[in-house]
Amino acid sequence: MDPSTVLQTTLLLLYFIAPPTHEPKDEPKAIRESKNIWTLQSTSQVVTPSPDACYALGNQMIAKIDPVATMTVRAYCLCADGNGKICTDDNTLKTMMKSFTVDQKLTPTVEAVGRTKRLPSASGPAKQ
Amino acid sequence: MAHAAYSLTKYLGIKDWLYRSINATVTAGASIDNPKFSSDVFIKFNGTGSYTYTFPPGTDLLTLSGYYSLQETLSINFTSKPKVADKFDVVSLPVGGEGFNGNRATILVHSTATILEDQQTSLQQIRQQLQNLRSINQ
Repeated sequence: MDPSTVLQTTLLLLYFIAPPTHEPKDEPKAIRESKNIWTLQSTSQVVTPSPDACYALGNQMIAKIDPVATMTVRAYCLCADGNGKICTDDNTLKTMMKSFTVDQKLTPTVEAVGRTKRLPSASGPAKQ
Repeated sequence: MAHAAYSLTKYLGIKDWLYRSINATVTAGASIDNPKFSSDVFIKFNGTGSYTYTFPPGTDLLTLSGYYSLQETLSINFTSKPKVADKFDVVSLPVGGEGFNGNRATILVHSTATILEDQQTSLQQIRQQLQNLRSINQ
């Protein structure tokens, strides 16, 4: 793999829609959306410069769409290396790249972007 | 003398009578013969007479009496509400990250009115309208 593309991470956004329903006031979106029937409306892919940037962008998109009752979003970061669940963070990747060889084993990973900010533990070295 | 189509319900307390009938079915352990469509209830009032229609076995089950000077026909149509025919859970969202709950919504599949039920309801409505028209013209 070309070392210059290792940092590059694709943000995949899936937009779902559902008919409006009567919902109790102040019910969190996480609970509201779990009871609805959703239909995939569209998807979009955005190439981001790094896993951290990808997560930040996805996280903000989720926050912006959360107040909408008839629409929800799922965001995923498709990165070149991770532990199978979480992408390797920027700093660790940059360190890896210093001694990067073409034969280096990487674990391509799909990380689901959450509503919360990325936890510090998730930013630590993802590789065992 | 013009009367509203549903003047009977206003003066004779048809609603209360229906409630009493339903209560009677509960207390007497009886049931109305055909809960889907009952037969029409034809009522003739001629001022002084009192007509009582009794459906066995409960004495106060579907019993009505009254005094009225106008001849009107009242059709009462019972149609069952659509029933829940099937119920299943479906997942319609993929797994999200931190802060996302799993999605599992229950879908209720309701039965629909059959063609026969639909026709019967429409016919009853048309018949009611025609009968009331005739009453007003007399």
